[in-house]
Amino acid sequence: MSEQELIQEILNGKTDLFAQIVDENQMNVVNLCYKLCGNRLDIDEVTQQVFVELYQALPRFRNESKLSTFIYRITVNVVSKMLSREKRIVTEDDSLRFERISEERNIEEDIIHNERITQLQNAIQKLKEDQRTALVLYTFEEKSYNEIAESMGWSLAKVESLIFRAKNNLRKMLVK
Amino acid sequence: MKYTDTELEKTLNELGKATYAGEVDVVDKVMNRLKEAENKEKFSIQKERKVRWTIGTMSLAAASVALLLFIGNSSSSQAQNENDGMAKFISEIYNRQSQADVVYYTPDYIDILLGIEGMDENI
Repeated sequence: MSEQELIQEILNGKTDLFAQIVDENQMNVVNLCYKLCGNRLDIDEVTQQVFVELYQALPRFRNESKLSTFIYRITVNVVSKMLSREKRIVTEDDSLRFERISEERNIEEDIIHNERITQLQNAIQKLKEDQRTALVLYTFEEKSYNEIAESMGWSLAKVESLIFRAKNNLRKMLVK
Repeated sequence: MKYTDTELEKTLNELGKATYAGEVDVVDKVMNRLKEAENKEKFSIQKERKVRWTIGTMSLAAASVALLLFIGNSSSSQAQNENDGMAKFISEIYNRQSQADVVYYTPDYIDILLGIEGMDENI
C-alpha cells in the first residue's frame, strides 16, 4: 500500500492503520526532537504529541509533499510550543541515555561542548518559524533547497534567503 | 565574542549528527490516546445531543404553555368585552326606561332596541 493509499484508508475510518505511520516514523521524530531540544523535554511525551497532532492534521495533508516532511514540520512546531511553555522534564536516566558525539573528549570538553549545543538549540528556538523550519530541514534532515521549496510550497529564492537569514541570526545570538 | 561562519557550521553539523540513544516506542501510547480522544468526542457528542434534546423539549413545552395562556387570555378578554358591552347596553336601556315614561318603554320597544323587531310577526 502506498503512502497516499494508507492515508486515504485512515481518513476513511481505518484508524488502526495509523499505528503503521507511527511505527515507521517514530525514530525520525525522536531524533529530530532530540536535536531541537536535547534533554530539556520528555522525548517520549513530545513524540506522542507529534503523532496525536499529526492524526488531527491528516485531513489537511496535501499529497504534494512527502508525509515525512509534513511530520518534520509538525515536530518543529510541537517542540517549539512545548519549549515555550518552559516545560522541563528531565530525569537522571534520560540524561544518561544520550549518546556522546565523541568518545575521545574529556569531561571538561564534554561540558563545554554540551553548553555550546544547548546554546545553539536555544537560539534555534528563537528563530522565526519559517527560518527554523528551513534550517532544520536543510541542516538536520539534509533536504536540498529544491526539496524544501517543493515540500513547503516556497520559491527556491525564499528557501535560500530563509536559511541565510537563519544562520545570520544564529550567529548574532550565539556567543563564545 | 560572536561565532564565525565555520564555528556555526561545525556546531550545526555536530547537532545534526546527534542521535537519541534511548529506546522509544510510542505506538501503543499514541493509539490509546487517539482512542481515548475518540471516545471523549463520542461522549461529548452524545451529551450535547441530550442537552439539545432537553432544551428543545423544554422550549417546546414553554412555547405550548405560552400559546395556551395567550389563547385563554384572549378568549376570556373577548368574552369579558362582550359581557361588558352587553351589560352597558342593558344598563343604558334601563337607565332610559327609568328616566322616561314607563308606558312608552314597553317590552316591544326594548325588543326593537335589542334588534329583534318583528320576530313575533314572523313566528
